[in-house]
Amino acid sequence: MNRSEEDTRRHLTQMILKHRTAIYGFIVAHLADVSSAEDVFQEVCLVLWEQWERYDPGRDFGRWARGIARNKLLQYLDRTGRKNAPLLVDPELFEKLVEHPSWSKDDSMEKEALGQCIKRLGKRAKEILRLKYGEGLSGKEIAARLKLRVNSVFVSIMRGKAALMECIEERLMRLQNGEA
Amino acid sequence: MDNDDRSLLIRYFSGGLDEKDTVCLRNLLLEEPGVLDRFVDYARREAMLSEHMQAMDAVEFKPEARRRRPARIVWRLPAAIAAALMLAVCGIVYLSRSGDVTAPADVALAVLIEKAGAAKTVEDMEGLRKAVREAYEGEYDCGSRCNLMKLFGLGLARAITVNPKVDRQVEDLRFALERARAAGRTVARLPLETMTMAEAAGGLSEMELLKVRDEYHRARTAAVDLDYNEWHARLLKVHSFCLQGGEEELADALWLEYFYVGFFERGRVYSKNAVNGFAGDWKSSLPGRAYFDRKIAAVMDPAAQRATALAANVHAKYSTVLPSGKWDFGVYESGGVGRFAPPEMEVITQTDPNAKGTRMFLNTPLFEEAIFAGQVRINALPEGGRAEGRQGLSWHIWFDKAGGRTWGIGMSEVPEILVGPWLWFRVRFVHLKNGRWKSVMTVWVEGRQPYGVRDLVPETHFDDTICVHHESESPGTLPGRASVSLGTNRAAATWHGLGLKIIRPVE
Repeated sequence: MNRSEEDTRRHLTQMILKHRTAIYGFIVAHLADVSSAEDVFQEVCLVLWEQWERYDPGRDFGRWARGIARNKLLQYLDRTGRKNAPLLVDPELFEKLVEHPSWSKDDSMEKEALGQCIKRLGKRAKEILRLKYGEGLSGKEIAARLKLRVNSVFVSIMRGKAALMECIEERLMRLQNGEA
Repeated sequence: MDNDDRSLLIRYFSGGLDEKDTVCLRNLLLEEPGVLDRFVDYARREAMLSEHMQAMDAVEFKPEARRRRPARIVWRLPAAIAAALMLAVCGIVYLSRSGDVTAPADVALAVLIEKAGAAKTVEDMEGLRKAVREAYEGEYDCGSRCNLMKLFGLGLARAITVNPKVDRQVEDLRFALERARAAGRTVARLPLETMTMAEAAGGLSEMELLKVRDEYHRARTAAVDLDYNEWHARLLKVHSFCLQGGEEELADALWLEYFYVGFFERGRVYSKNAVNGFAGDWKSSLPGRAYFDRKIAAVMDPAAQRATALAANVHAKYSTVLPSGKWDFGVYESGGVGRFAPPEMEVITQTDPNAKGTRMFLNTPLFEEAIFAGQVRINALPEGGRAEGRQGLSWHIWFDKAGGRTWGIGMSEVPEILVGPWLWFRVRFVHLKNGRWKSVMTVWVEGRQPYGVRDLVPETHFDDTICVHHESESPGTLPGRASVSLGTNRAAATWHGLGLKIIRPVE
């Protein structure tokens, strides 16, 4: 590799790391389960890495990455008969999401807030979320594991997430007001 | 954005929207910019939640669950592996910040590797997990200053574990810890956004390490595409490059992966290269010979020699029916009972001449722990087979010469999806210190990465498209002779045995 290539590679690596959460979030927004989202994310990362020659450091990296993620998502959904697509695939909406500027927000405060808010969750809610996101279990599998009804698991997930969102927004508000 | 919209989004991201509500949400997203903004925020937080929980998953500790089902300890190992990797990465980054790259975390990991090497019982493993957890917790609660997933994304740590799932299938804790250690050291030398890296004495430069990562990515891509020649060439190239550059730990990690994948995950590579070249060319020609002799040869050489003898015998016996150049233990077709016994091994008598289905015997020397790998194709299930629940894959250990006392486990109710394609299988037998035997069988579909194992549940589990994993512990306890028989109960099948590794011979 010559110097210019090395610089591009290095910059690309930093960009992948910086935008990791947003790229994964873009994928999660379109897929129902963690496992599928991880598969697609992995494919996107490989494409980003392999197509480094096509990367222009002057371009909006996030937009480029989301474009690749969109293509990979469509390929994945076609392959799987779109069974895992909770959001009806709509070209106009897809484009709006690819272009949306909020993906590039600095997320460091949100991550910190999330970490604190998770600590405030009840033991059961935390365990259910861990099984869902940490182990990638479906609602049915979580119910079997914890000997709960499937419906109770879904209710618990929804309540846990609602509490998390409320808590995060509250903390962000306080941080913005300099109260934290 | 009102509360109804928020509720709609929460339900969407919890998987609880019906079609009507989904249409409603789509319209809102197209027409209400505020809802779209919120949707993106929620999606980003979903990703953050996933990252956070995967990190948490590595340190959770559940004594009550283990008491109920102690055999689950093995499938919890990947969590410990992930924790160890995080520990290495976190600790080293922290230390690099302070300008000290002698890395006590590296030392801590070395201690864990040593413990892992000595771990034989469930209690040992619990102790190890506890040590990993305690070490890790000290580094974990460091807020955005120590963004684990971000650190995971750096250097070889990321290249090797492009997806956290990759680590979940690694059975050998020692291997993973070694790898984590090498990856951690590499990370310590790669550029971070928020700090200046200390200049490490010797080793490859940052750019050279990036080159290694690039090459490694290409190797992995080739492996995923089943292009094993390409994978083989690239991995060896990276390995040599690392060795020549003084990156011995990294080279060791790659070397281990090469063996691990080559022998047990990628039977084709084994069949093509290992038998002919393993014991000779590679050992003498590569600069990694010292490492090879120290860590690998003692375990692998005897197995390789046996495998070579087996292959030669099979070729002699089946040369007329096997495709040229293909290496197998044998091919046994439906309805018959096949038996293979190389001269230096004892013969096991089939005690039930009326046994139905296909069965392959591999009568091995004594072992306390071994992995057997190969391929099987289930050609058809008998009428109503699935409902009867007696058909499927089975594996047995014999505890005495005559085969009179056995422990057998059957993976019944083979799902339709596994009928037809070539499946890879891997069975691991472990004789525990308490005298009991444990076996873990993993079956996955040809063409899919075995890395796809996610749900390593202790009971039989069928993932629709990826893999079957079964783990169990024997009720009886008898030390002594062990032989392996793999069979397909009352189902037509073809078996190809591809490799045996004796991890612990009988002392």
